[in-house]
Amino acid sequence: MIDHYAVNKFLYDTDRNEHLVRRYIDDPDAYVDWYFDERLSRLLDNESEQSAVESPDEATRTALKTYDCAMLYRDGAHPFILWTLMLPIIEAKLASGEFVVGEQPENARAENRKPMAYYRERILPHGRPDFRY
Amino acid sequence: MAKIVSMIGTTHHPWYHAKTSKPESELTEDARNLLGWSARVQESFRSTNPDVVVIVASDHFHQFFYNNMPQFLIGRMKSYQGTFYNEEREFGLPRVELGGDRRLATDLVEAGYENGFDFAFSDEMRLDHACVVPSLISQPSFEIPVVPLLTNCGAPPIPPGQRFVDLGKALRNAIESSNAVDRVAVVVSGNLSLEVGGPEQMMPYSVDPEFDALAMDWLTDRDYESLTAESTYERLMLHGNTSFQFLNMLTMASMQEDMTLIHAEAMKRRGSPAPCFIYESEVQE
Repeated sequence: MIDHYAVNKFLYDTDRNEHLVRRYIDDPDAYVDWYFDERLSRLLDNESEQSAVESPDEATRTALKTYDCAMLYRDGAHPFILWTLMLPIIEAKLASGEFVVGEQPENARAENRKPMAYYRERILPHGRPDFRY
Repeated sequence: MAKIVSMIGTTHHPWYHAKTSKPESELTEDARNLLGWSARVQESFRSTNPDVVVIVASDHFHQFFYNNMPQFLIGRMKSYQGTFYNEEREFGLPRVELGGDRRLATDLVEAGYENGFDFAFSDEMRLDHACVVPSLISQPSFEIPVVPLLTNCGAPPIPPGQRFVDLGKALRNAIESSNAVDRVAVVVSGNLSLEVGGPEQMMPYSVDPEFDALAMDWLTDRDYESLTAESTYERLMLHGNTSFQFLNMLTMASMQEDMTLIHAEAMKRRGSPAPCFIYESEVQE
């Protein structure tokens, strides 16, 4: 089971910063390790101070390093911030050929059609997980 | 004492600008419907002539995060900048500037204490698409200052439906007890069934058409019993993981009192329909 706060903070904090999104796309292994080793426990509004928030386990780090949206979604990462960060990742990886998209949903809407299809085929088996806890 | 002269319930569809700013010949049916809705709302603003717009809108993890999560927050800035890098990236939203009204905002916070709401407040914030898009729809010239009231419809535990009904009553009392301005428009942004980041996201059909139809009836009829019974975390999750923003519409329903319902429509879109409401208080018979 992933640590919800740590994962959601990673998603939120990365997605809102263009430079961090770029680093996550370019070198996910180094970026995820840096994030959890150096940045996670820094307060969001005061980088000179730290909290007692705990770094997540290896399985969580691996899921983020491999952009494993299915596992993160299944385990209750917040779906809104998971999607908004996965979107530029999937866009970049589809463009570079690292990701390949399967069949698109029939009559899919134009917005983000291919990234949505990639994301959807991975999360679909997991329905709507409870993300309260 | 300030008077609520108009109240608008509207979508904050994030692709509003991208869809509607194309050349006439390239406009989709969705875009034409959105522009038609915007024209209707602008006409209401012209005829009711508000001094300030109070915008009730959900935060989308821009002002709020789990390290410090308010449920209801009022902005007290003299002016606001709008949208964020990740919204420009995803939706092509323009960066905008809007005026604020610190005196009215402060009055609302103080009146909240008398009406059962201890509002959080912010003297430094940016506005996300939930405030920017309703402003593009209602006043694309951005001439009228705004007071944002942000709600937590995104990060559970989310307040239950009854709190949003109570919020409407408290907010109405708060506005009407202020001398900061004379004429206030309230713009409430929300949706019916909706999913973001879940399996039914961006499908070309509604997540839950049955709920959409019932919800429009409950809102129009002010059926608070159904509205509150159906607005728990468990019930709303059945209609999509982002249906919680429907809660803002409960606030709209409970604010209308004796205002005249001018327009109620579930705007057809590819995807879930968008709730569109116009109420006015000085309607000529």
